[in-house]
Amino acid sequence: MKTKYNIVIGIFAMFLSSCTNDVEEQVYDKFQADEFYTSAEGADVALAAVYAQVGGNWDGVGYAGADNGWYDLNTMSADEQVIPHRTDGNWQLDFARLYIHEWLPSDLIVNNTWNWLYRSVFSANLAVEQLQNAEASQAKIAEAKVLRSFFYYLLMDDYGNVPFYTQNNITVEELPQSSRQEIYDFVVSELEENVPNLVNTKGGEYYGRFNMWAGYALLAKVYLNAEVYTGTAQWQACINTIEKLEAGGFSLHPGAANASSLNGYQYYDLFGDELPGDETILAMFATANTVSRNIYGLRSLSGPQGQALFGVNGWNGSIVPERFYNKYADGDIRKVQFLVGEQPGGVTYTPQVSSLDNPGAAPLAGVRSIKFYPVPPLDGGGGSNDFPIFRYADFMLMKAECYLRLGDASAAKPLVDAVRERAGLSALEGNPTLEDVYNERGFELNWEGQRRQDMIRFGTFLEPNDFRGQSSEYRELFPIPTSALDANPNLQQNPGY
Amino acid sequence: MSLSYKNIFGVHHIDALALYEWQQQTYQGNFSQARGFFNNETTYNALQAGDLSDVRPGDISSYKNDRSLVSFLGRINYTLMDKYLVSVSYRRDGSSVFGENNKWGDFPAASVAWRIDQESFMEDGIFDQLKLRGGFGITGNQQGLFPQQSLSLVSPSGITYFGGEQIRNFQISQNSNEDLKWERKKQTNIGVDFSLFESRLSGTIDAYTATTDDLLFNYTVPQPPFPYNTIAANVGSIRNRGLEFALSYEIIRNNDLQLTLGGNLSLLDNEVLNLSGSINGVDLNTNYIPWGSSSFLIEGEAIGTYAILQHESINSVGVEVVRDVNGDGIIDQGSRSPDRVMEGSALPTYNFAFNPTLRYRNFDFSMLWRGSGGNKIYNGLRQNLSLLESLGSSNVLESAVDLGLFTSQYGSDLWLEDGDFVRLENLTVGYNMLLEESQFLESVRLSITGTNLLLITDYSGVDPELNFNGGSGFGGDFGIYPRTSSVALGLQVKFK
Repeated sequence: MKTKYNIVIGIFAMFLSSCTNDVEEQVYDKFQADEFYTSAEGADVALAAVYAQVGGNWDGVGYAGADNGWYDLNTMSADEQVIPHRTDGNWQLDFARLYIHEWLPSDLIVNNTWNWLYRSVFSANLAVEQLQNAEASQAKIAEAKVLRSFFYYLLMDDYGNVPFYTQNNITVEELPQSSRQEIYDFVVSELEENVPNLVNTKGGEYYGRFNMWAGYALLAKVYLNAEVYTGTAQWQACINTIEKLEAGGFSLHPGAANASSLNGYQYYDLFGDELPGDETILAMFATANTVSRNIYGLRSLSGPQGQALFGVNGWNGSIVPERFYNKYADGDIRKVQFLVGEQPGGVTYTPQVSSLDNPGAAPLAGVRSIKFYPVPPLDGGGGSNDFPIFRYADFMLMKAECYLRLGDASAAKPLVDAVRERAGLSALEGNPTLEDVYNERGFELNWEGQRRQDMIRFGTFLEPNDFRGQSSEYRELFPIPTSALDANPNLQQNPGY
Repeated sequence: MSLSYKNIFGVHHIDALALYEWQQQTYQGNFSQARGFFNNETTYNALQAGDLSDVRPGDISSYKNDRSLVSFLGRINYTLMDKYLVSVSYRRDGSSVFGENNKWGDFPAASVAWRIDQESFMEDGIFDQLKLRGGFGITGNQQGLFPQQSLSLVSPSGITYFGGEQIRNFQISQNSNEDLKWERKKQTNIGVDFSLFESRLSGTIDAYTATTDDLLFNYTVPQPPFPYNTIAANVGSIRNRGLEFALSYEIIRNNDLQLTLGGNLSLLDNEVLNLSGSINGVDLNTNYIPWGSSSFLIEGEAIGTYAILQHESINSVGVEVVRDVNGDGIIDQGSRSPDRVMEGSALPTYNFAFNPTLRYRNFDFSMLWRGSGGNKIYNGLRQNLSLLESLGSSNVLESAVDLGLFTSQYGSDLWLEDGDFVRLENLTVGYNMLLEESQFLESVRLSITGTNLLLITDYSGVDPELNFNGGSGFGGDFGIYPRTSSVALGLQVKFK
């Protein structure tokens, strides 16, 4: 019997050794991250991928161009636009909640903006790391670092004290929630150090990218709002930075009437397909359905008017609050963007809106805007207008504001007048006041994502509007989204939420 | 491949098995679409008839991944005197979907049984059969895990504008976890099989407890520093316990009439024992893991426990008000919010079936009743169809008019309902003719069978028996494909 057992065991052993025991994982349709990024081209791809984060996409991704993300959060919480719930059942209430300052930590737009910004930081960290490993040029490394600072600037502006990291392989325990001051200090020192290393080429290969001028523009924005972020104003530093930016040779794009321009004025080239380089400092590139998109014109138009003008339905979404619209003087070419009364497609818009949420606005109530007059290729999902992140008119008004805050009203006057005159208005009779600058910023930069920040800096953000009373101070920061707090209990919510 | 060996040495009976198995599953697909067709005639049969100058990102895509599983199994069954049975087995499994160093797992199991009815002292007893069983085993699970999740990968992701041109974009495609390993389930069970009174009463009783460790799940992780908000990982353990009874009793047994009552009952209990663990070497406090609509994995609670905001009222303008449980003036919607209250679980605590059969001469009749309960269902469909703000853009329920709710920001317990039900799953009546005199036909049977004839439940939705088809999102009803009811007439003819 004993031999028989041995035979059995022997056969068993042979049988085991003849079998394959290969369970290695095969990857057919993706690339291994280490191998992919370690080549020089891979490092460039990592930098390009950061710009893919800037363009607007669905699900609240991107700076501007699409919906439910950073742009909606920062325009609809201000006084310049809102999407009312309609009595025909259209549009969820999230947008109206922004306008009446009743947004919630669990709101989709608050959450999308946070997730977008932190995925952008991750992607910028990756680019910095890969470019350094590949020993790329100093300019490219600086570009990735400036992009990262751009995202941290947006994070500190919206959320205040936020998690801060520059290395992706960090653990949650090592990830501090830095104070707004600490983020500010990081952004300022990072920009002061890296912006001078950026290339000074304008347009061409650098269209839509952070060159030196876009870098100084970003730094000027940070200094402009320093008092909000840290309690200490930096008006002179802002002026000095804008002066460095001026070395880039920017000027106001002409505003004159021109039949072949969008909305009939050359001014609207600034919001068209390829933004003119005389005034545009940093553009976000868009070609609908390929790279990003721009929905803002179509989102505002009613369905039939969209059909009549472009052969696709308008979304009947964003309106301009009546009191904001009423502030524009007649003869201001910037008023041309607004649509009131009878329109192609047989629709008539009325400026009055009686309700934003319950029961909601009548279907055709509210002033519409075609500042971003949809340009082809376009379809029902939006047009291909590029988006101005930074343009020179903004920085002229910023400089005027800084002069005024430092008590030099006469230095501010030519800057404000130039912006007014380009818009077809006369120069101010006397020197501008801070309020003049504030209003001019509203007229010039509406729907460009600057308004919430401006209102906070000028102290008007909490003031009552047509649909709410005085708002509470804590609303000057957005809440850290509920999902972020759930996943990381070490995070501290902003006060008041 | 398998090898088996059998031998009998007097009262010893040995039966051994060695088995090798290799499986590979390949998933492959491709997708293409076109637009701007010349006309509508060729449809998708000739995509090239579309406008090829208008190809956009996302119009063409393909993927391929695979998984392989290798198993070695050895098992020995030993029986002594046909009364005492022992079985021991050992398996070693390797799966490609785990991390580089964790692909293999070892899973032993053993069981014993005692056929008491074979003992001499049982010869005059009432039992026709009596068997006591017990076992312990470890099993591994890998099937729920998709391939490639242990690897840091880059995938093509649309187009980006860079350097003055449109170029292909690539990005890190997921949170990878190189530590992924087998989920292990340790199960202990004890049971008895019996039949007595000339086999008129028979049944089984089973009790088991199973603890699953290294639970594979998509855990929520913080963003930052992770670029995505979930990661597949082995964190946590859960325990399932159950008692199962099955009984069948022939009440009447004679030539003309036969009546049998059969049924079974299972009692289930489960608890999340632990959820803290580490992912990629990072300790994470992963409690309150989202599982379904307002349901979570919470340490110390049943799987899928609802922690849900409390509906209080609807205010004068039709907006829902929920209870501020901790009275701080803020309705916190976070997973761990003190304003949430636990209200049962999405998983049933019992299920049962009842199966009477009756035969009278040539007629037969049987029914199957089935049910389960003890669970709650989040009726998301009712929620979606109850908000008056959507009047004009979508249908609303008739009940929404009485409710008068214009809008709500909350998913409160207003939409939580009991999931108990009893269903008449099957009813059959038949008539059999034995045609002994016929030359060609042996028998003819006429029958009528109804399925899903009756559903008794307080649940307001279409059907409380939802399809739990894996992944997360359990226990919520967002619309299911309704079960059909049918009545079938049957004629069965057997030829000689």
